[in-house]
Amino acid sequence: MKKISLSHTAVKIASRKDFIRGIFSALASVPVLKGLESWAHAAPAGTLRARAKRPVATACDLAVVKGESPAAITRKAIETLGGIDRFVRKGDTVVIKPNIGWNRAPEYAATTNPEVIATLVALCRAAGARRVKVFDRTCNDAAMCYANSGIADAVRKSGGSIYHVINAKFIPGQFPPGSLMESWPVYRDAVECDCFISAPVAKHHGLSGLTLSMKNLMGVCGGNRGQMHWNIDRKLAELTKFINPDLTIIDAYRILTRNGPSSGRLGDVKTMKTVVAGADPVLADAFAATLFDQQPNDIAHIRKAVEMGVGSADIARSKIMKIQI
Amino acid sequence: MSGTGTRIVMARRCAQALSAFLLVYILWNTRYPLEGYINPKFYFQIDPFAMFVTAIAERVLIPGILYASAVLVLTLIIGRFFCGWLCPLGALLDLLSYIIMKIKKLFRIKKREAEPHPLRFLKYGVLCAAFAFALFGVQLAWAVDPITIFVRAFSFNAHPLIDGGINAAFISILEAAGYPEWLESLYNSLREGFLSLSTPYFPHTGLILSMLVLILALSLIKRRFWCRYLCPLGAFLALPARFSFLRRDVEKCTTNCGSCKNICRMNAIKEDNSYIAEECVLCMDCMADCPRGKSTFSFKLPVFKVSEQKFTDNYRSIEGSEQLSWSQGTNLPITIGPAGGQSNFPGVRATIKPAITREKFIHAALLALTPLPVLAANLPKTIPRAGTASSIRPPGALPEDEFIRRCIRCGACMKVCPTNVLQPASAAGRPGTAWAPVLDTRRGYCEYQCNLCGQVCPTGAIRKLSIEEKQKVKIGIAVFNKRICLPYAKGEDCIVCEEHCPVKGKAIRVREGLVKGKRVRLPYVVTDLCIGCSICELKCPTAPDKGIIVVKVREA
Repeated sequence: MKKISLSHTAVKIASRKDFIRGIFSALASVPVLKGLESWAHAAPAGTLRARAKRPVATACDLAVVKGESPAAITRKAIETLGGIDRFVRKGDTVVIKPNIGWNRAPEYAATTNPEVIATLVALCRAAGARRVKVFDRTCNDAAMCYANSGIADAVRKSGGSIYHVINAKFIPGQFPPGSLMESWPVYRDAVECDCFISAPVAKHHGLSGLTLSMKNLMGVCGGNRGQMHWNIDRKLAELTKFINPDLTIIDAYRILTRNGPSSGRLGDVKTMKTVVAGADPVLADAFAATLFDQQPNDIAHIRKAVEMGVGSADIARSKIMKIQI
Repeated sequence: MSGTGTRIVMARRCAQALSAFLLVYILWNTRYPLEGYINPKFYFQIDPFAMFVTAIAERVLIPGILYASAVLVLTLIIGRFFCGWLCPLGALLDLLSYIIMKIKKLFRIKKREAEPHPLRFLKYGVLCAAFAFALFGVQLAWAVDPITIFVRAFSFNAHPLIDGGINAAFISILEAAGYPEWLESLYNSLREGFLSLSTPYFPHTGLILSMLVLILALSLIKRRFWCRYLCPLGAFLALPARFSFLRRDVEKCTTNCGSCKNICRMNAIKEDNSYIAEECVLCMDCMADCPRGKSTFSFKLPVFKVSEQKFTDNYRSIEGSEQLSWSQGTNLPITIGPAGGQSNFPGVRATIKPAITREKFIHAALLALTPLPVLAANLPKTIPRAGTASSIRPPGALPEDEFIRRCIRCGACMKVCPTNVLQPASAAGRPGTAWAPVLDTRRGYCEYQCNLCGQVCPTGAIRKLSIEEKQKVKIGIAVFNKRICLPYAKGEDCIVCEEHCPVKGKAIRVREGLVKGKRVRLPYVVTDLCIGCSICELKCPTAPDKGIIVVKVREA
């Protein structure tokens, strides 16, 4: 090892005056740095509180309508519950959340029937809703999903506004302490609305068994949604409690019985020509499960939701109006 | 000032602006759903250099040859109109030099042009080299074609910058203003057809942009430096333009004041007021700015030799005019006569100089035939696989070697790709494959119901497939990494991959199994069905490494 002699290094040492000046100028930058620091550490732009639901008395717990036209059965189902006026008031901002997750034509039953959505939009507009917003955070390319599902056209023609989600509007939700969903980002519009209508299509799903209205709510969540699949049943129950939909209408005009949630094979589609509508999302899901010849208790997230008091799955004791038109 | 000339120059400027705007408009709209717009491949198909080089390298007749030949024929008739009137890069360079000219005027800097510089032969060298490489099966049009350079810089640099800038501005204003309804509606409607839903991102963009920046910077030295001295497309068009029928006519000029020589952007006008036809891009500035309106263009048969009589006449008339112009007290720069100390006419045995002398041609040919192309054709084919870099080509891509020969790296497929999965390959990858499209499976996925990349490819490097055909094309295959995949590694249910698999009948299926004493659903890949679309890899929730990755199927 060679020692380096310091005596040869020609370092110009600052004069005392320069030194003091340097100290002062360094001190002067402290408040600026402090200011920058507090700005950098500022809390993110707020969090979202859970959505409050308006108390609504419906004519029955669940309306199940069967018929040839998706539009007619949707209208009849809402009418059976007591009319759209019970949910939507004049000047309301309404959010309708369909399933537009996949780039599939409506015949493949991977997305909600556009006629069902068009009818809902028209009903809300007729009830005096100021704005009817329709959106979904899609799994496939968003522009393609919106166009090929037929929902974008349907909404525009019936007077609603359909738009693509803006990433900046996913805001951490204030889920209760201990929740597995803690501060999961949720779309702002889904919470800041007067009426939330969940309008999924009934489908088979490899993990949750079936994807119905509760799983439909995943479409308002941001973040890496694949990670929600871990312990999904409890998360779906917590999410449903958070979003608290006013009205759930499950499109079972065509249902996907295998290879859900996207399939792409017409052989997997079964035509049921049914819609299920109700104020309780869990009850609507429970009934929809029976369309697949399954018991509500077979579906883990329905079981969990009942356990957590999100809703009821007791089909036998509920007032269900079954109508054929 | 000549009225007709000024009008023609105005028309030319409009044509340039329109052409550049049209290309930018087409490129901006090279996106889903790609309906009702002119296909971006049009601009490449009228580019004879790119088309011929690609066709020769691949030894096929690509459809673009037809359009490209039409452009060559038209050039034979009227000259290099493409360079002066249509080339978007030329338009950009002209805009830049126009601005610089205005600035120079502020400082009263006058510009003079010397005799045509022999550097102009360099572009024939570039052209020869490109064709020589093409003969050996190496297509280099992608590196030097001006349209490609322009388009690439737009798609990879300008578009993401503008689109991202507008998006970011909207978001920050919306955030600050608390999402006012009218502004949000405006933003949403802009996102329907104008802005991207998520701004595309491309790597290696600095290198791509630097080519355009270099060309722009060179034009600070001399106007249209690139077009004068380097552009192989210009050189290719110059070949027929040399014999074009539309010729500059200055027979009536008696002064040879030199103003046309000094404004010629291509440095095509000589001291003796004759011009090099193949260098002329028909900008018509000489016509518009001739102080006496003596510079015109007319159709005539190409002249190869100037008769002795005519030449001496011309000489005399210039001699005589010298006094005239002095007596008029004009302050235009006069470069002729004894005052300039130059002898413009070294002899009466004058013939118009050929574009390239035999000596120079042999030199260029020798240079082009150096072993370089041979070396390039035999570069190692091994693929350095760094980390997770993929070498998966877009669906419908020709077999690798053919694909590389045909792809001109115009970036149209990457621009149109709705999920941004198509990315330019790194210049550090296998030699000769830089910037050709590969799938970045961590950035996007190949949409099952999309065949847009094949629709916009100008050379057919990506075949045009129907949706049904595309859904059967295997671009890769998914493989589980069981040390990371949640069900296999931790015994936790997940199956996000199975959920997203778009293949009819599911290429990823699930069976029940026991892991760590837990009953879980274990996913597996059905090799025959998997097409390698990579949505499983993209959506796999594990990070940073994925439980499932898509690899290229080994080529037979």
